[in-house]
Amino acid sequence: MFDSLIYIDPGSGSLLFQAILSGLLTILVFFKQIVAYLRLRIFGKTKKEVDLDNLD
Amino acid sequence: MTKPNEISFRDTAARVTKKENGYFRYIFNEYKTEYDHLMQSGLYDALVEKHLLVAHKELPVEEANYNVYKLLYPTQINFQSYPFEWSYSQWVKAILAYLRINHIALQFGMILKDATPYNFYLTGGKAIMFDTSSFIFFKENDSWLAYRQFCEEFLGPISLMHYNGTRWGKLTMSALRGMPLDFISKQLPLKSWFNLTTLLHIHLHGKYSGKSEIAVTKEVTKKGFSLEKILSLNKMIFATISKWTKAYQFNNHWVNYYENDIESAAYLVDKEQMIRKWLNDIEPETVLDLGANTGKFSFIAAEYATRVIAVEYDDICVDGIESQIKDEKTLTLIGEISEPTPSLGFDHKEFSSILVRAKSEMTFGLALIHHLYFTNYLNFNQIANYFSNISTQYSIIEFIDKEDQKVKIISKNKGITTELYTQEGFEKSLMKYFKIIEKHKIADSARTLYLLKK
Repeated sequence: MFDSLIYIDPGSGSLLFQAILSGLLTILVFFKQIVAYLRLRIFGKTKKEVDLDNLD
Repeated sequence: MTKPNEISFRDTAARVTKKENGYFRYIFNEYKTEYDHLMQSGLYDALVEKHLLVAHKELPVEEANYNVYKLLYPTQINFQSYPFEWSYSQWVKAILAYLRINHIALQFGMILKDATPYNFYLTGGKAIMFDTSSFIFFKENDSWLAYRQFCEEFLGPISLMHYNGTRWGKLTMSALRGMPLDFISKQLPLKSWFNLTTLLHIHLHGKYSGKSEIAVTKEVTKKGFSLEKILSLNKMIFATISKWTKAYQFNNHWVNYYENDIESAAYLVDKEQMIRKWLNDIEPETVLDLGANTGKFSFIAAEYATRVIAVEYDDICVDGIESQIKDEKTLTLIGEISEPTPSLGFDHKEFSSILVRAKSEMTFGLALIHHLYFTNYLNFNQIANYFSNISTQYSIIEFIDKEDQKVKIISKNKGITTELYTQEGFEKSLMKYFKIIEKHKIADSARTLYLLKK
């Protein structure tokens, strides 16, 4: 991964934090899915997400 | 042939070189696989079609060079302003464009390896990335190598502007490679801890990012993000920035200059007619509008010229101008005559001074001279000399007489006598540097327009 194409130092502390962040995201995504499921069951609709592909 | 340009010496995948007929990008062999994937997977087309990435043509490599894979001729940039000259809305455009590029790239198996606003230029009201060699492959559970840079150079400054005011944009000039996250975290108010994006990516990240002494094993670098996670992280930041439509603002009065604060309608009509006539007669290629205010005369100039740069020190005005830009002719940036952008970066060659970049065939100084004289304490000789340096040929300058209400107020507030502030003295200074082609007393005012030629 650390090949010669990378000239920006990602920072070792930052890499370690990404490993932690990845764990946090697992929990976040899990809860988001529960909220989305409940929203669908209770209100019968899903949250409108931003579509980054087609903004124009 | 591949002598590095002063701005691209860090990249080992490619190199930008300036030649007589513009800027060229050499793609080196070590970037071959990534470049081919970018071009053949449909990613390049998708990004160019959405006006997110600069388009280019491939040219034959004219000299035998075993290291060069491709020679690219990108669409040439009309004018480049730097992030520390951008208004808040221009920053928002750049960061949102960056996140969209990253999002789209991920769907094609790639990710951005750099995250700097300096890779963007603003044109036609859009932010476009010009670093074609910024894509690398993304594999499941990779770390995002540009993450720290993204937080330090993009998210950090925009958070500071959002919470603490737009002056932070200008302050990034003192940290060209980004501000440390612990420093940014310290500047942000308590309420930013309750925003999930700033909490995670600035405050908590800041607790780790400065710790370079941590030994990171290969296992840790592989505990990055799954595709789903990196997409959702990207989306989360995008959603936050999209909601940050406004930066914290201190009081400001220039934005309503034309609506509330000006002379009669007859004055405006006459001034516009005269300027239009001169533009029509001269047809300048490039115009620089100093003290552009709402950009009214910049947009008029854009009807006649191919490039107009509207410089204004008030960031709200720059935001207003930016929101009206529809074509690629008009550009705007924050600039102050008494504090011009100097040459910066290594050996003063990475970023060129505004006086070099913005030099134009014609320069406007409309309702500006009294500010330079009374607020910046410049004398007429300094002002005339400045205009002659920044114009290659013509200037249109408006002189506001001491009888004008504006001059009375500003001189009184500054406690400066108007004794030496005379039209005769002004003309005498102008004639040291210019020939006065035409002089026009504007209707219903104590103001005069000058058309000057060097």
